[in-house]
Amino acid sequence: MHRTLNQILFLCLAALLPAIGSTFLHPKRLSWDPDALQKDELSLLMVEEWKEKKILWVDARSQEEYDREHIPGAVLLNEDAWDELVEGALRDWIPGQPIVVYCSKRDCQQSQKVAARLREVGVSPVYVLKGGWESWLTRNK
Amino acid sequence: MKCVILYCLRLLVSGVFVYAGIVKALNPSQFLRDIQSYQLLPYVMAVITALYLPWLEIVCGTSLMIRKLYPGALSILSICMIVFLFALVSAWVRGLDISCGCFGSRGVQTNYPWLVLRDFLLLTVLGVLVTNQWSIGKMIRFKN
Repeated sequence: MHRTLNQILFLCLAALLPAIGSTFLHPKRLSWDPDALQKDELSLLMVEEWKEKKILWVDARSQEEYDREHIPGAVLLNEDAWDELVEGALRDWIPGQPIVVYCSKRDCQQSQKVAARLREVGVSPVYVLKGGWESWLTRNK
Repeated sequence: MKCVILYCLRLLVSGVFVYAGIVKALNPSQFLRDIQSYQLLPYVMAVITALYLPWLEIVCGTSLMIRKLYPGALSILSICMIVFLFALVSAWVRGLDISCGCFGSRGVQTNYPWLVLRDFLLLTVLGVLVTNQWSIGKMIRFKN
């Protein structure tokens, strides 16, 4: 039992060394700031500065949440009904026009998934709104 | 025969954890997003987990094949699997749309029954290895 505990301690420490290394040396190293933007993420402030560009907002939440309220002009496109929605969502999209996808809040994953799928079908540029619908609500209360 | 089966299981678990660890260590930002989608940890803790957990999996997965470190590695991986399973079930209960994060998958729709079954099977294999630690110890000594 004592020997196993020593092994556990040793293994935990052994994993700590490369973890510390990747904290500082990894090419995709993480930020400790929760508000830091990751690759292909935009803050609402940044989007607002793009007034001259005509942005296509894509709402990746559920139909129910979209019907309740959404960003003006946003089109619904979520994973649950991807096949039915994708054609209509991209009907008015002009190639090269920036697409900003959002979901309900910071921790939600739907916007990342929808953005990834849009990129897979060749749509570009596609960004994700940091903070999602919650950040829009906070700013436009 | 029993020893051969146990050796194969050990190899399988080792491979699964080393692979999972490498995939996550290569893309920590994606793994961080996956952890955040579980909505269980504050941001800083999620970052620490995203940086540390992949390496713990790699180190312990590799150590499963090392006689002197085998019991310790097996204990850590068993505890990890219980935590993973708990996190998965809690996300399922809360109706969250998550990327499992298990193998760095992305853009895949969550299939909770399959994910829980897979984790449960892996936990069962770990349980078999834990209960047969002594015979594995003998087997490793024999092989070495």
